[in-house]
Amino acid sequence: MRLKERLDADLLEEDFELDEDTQENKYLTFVLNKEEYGIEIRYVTEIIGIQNITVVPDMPDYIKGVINLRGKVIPVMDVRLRFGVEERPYDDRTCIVVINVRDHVVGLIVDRVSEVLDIPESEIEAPPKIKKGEGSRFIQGMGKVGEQVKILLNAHRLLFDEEE
Amino acid sequence: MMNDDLEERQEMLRCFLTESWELLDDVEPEIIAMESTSLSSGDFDQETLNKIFRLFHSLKGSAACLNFNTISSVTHEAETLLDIFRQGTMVEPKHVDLLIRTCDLVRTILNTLEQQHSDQGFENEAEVIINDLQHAIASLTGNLTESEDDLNLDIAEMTGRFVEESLELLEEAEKSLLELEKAPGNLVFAGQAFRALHSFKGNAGFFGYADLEEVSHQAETLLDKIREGEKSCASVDISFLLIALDALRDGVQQISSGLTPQLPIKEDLINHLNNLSQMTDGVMNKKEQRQELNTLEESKEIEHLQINTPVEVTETECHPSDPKERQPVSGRQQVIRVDIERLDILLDLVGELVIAEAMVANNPDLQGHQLDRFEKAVLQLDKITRDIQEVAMSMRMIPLAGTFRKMVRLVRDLANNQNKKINLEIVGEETEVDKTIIEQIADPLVHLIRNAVDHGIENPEDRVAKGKPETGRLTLEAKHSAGEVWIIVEDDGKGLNRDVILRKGIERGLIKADNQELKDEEVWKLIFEPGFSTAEKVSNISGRGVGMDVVRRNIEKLRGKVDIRSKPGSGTILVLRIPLTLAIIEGMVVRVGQNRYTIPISSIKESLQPRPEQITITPDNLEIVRIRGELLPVVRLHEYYQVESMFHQLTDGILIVVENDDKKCCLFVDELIGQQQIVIKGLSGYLGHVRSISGCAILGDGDISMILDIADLINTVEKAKG
Repeated sequence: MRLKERLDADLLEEDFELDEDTQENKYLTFVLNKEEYGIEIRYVTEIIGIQNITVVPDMPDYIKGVINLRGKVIPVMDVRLRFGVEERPYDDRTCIVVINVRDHVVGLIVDRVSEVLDIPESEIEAPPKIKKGEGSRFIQGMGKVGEQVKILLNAHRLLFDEEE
Repeated sequence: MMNDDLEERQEMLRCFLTESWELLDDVEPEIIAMESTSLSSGDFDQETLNKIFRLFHSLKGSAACLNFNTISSVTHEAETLLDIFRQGTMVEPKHVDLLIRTCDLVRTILNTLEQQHSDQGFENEAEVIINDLQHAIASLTGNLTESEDDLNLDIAEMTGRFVEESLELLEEAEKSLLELEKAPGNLVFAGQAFRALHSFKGNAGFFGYADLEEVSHQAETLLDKIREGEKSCASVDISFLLIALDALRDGVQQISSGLTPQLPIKEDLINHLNNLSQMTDGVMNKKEQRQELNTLEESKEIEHLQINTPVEVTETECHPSDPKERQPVSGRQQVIRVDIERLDILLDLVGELVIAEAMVANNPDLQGHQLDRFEKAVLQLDKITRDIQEVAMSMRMIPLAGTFRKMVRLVRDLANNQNKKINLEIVGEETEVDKTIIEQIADPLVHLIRNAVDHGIENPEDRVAKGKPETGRLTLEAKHSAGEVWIIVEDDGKGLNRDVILRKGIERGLIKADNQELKDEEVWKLIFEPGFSTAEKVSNISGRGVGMDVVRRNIEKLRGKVDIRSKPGSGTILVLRIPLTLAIIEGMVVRVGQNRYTIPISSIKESLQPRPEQITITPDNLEIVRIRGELLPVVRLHEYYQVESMFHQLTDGILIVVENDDKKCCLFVDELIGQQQIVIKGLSGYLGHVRSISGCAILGDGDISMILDIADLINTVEKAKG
């Protein structure tokens, strides 16, 4: 299973051709456990369908292993497990969102990828302070889009934050 | 040895000529262009001036490296002149003319060099040009005005250049001194060393580094007497001069760290050098000299026996096969310079090509089909891919000569320190190895040579008493053998003492007491244990038991091995065996449950399906297999990595006997899949270190397999047993 675009081909192409500057305020949104999350599109290098994962020993449970991405071996993280949420069997809508943070390339396994949205800073509120569980420490802010709220994630913390 | 010398010199000459022609061809047009520009505006592009400056600077450096002193002195003046222009002085047509004349002279000399191999015979012309250049410089410096800012920047830059130049000059002087020592009658070397120190002194004086100036002045005076024949060169002279060079080098390092250079031993050094200059031969008692020398060296508190990277800089400038950052220039060259980044990209791609080719050749879609013509075509593709791979890898290869040469000075100093006579023989220095190996091998070699001198070779009296020649023989050899490069350090000293090592091993709890069955090789291996040393006295050279441990670690990093052979009384041989190709290995793919692991073929001894009677279970529940009399522990990979396995009975699956460093064990797996050539890919840094995994490989069907690090696995298992 190679490059399968889950989104409208046009949308994806359009956004990926934009350069660094005009990628501000744009978020790739995806669904996890019925909640909508978002991550800054500038970290996203590609989106692929779920494929064979090779297990790597001695890893935390949320690191599922590694995949072969056109000859490059990259690790993949199951975001559900990272959030401490129950696992869900992968189906044909499950996607791997490949992100590059500080030159580390990691794939994020999510339930479903939604769309790229423009969320200006004025529409983003600070994360709720007290809420525990479900990855609250990875939340960068809460983005309001029309009637809905998207939980915006901090890519750095998602990858590098350790359990206290 | 003489022929090798000649060949090597030819090679260096060729390299120098190629480089120099390139430089001249590149920049001369710019100088000529200056002529027309100067007539119009006198206003020059800073970049152009820098370029021309660099031309002369590089020429000077390379020429000095090869002792072409005429070229280097001429280009030195030109460089100085260019520097004045760089700082903003107006260039006049007469200056351009001067520069062009300089280039012409250099070209003429280069032409003669091609036939003659020396730049003698042009001193007169050189002197004329040097005078003219110096006049120009003198007249211009009188009118120099600069802004404050420029001054500061320039000082930093000039200091940087001073450091660079000085290190080059000191290295040149050192080389000449070592040659002079071997042939004290050959005063040419004295002259070379003198000129290098003279230039150094000049530069130091210009910058106001008083200490450096004074010391180099004394050294220069002594050398002057020697080269004029007023004093014949004795070994003690060389020793003191070398110490002086080291001190000066330290001073220069201080400068590059931003400090003002101060030499604490300056007074002593100056006195000694002065004394040596004053006396005629044989006046000072040889023993006194030796004592003075020792105190001086000890009081230095600097590891002057360390091989420093500055030396590296000049060495690599002269190597033809060393790629550097330059644009490729066509012309009369047989050599082309390539950005090392490009080489690395190429090598990466070659690695990918090997994987992709395997994915075509082993594609599951092809299973069960009869595809004769296809298979023929694939074989051809395979062959070509391997050829490309070989050529690509060979591009990063560098001869060991540079590294070996540095050992010459090391051996000399060590031997003198201990009053031993040692002759270092170098064989096979033209053997090429990958760049990474060169970088990793220097430290281990230094340790091994120190050990050989310190513990191996006896002092002259003992040797004679044993009926050995007074001068010890130390051989450093390199050769290719079956996909590996072997680096051999051999001495004819007293060999390893089995009893002493055994005793120490028992003392440190490394072996059970009195294990008489231990073979010699196993006893020798003990010396690699951390902290192991049988030296009674800890000298500042060795004896702290740190050396051999580092050696083994460095060699293991290169996936190599160290073999030791020794005969008491006769000597010791150490062989470093390093695989030539670092990134591509032959691997055996095995399956455990749904997982596939790759084991490097070089670690596998054999594989078998055990019979029930071969298996024993100890009281502490350890499984042992007996294979032809040998008892080996079993490691269940599915347990080690906590994965599911298809088989649980040892007799249902396969046992693979693996070995590292004479330690063996059996890995229990479900089945053997097959042998493959694999490209090692590092596991992502994000994952960190994984137990006993050295990397991963992409298999023919696109899936990934973890590559087992057998050394780590065996060690971990042993430690767990306690």
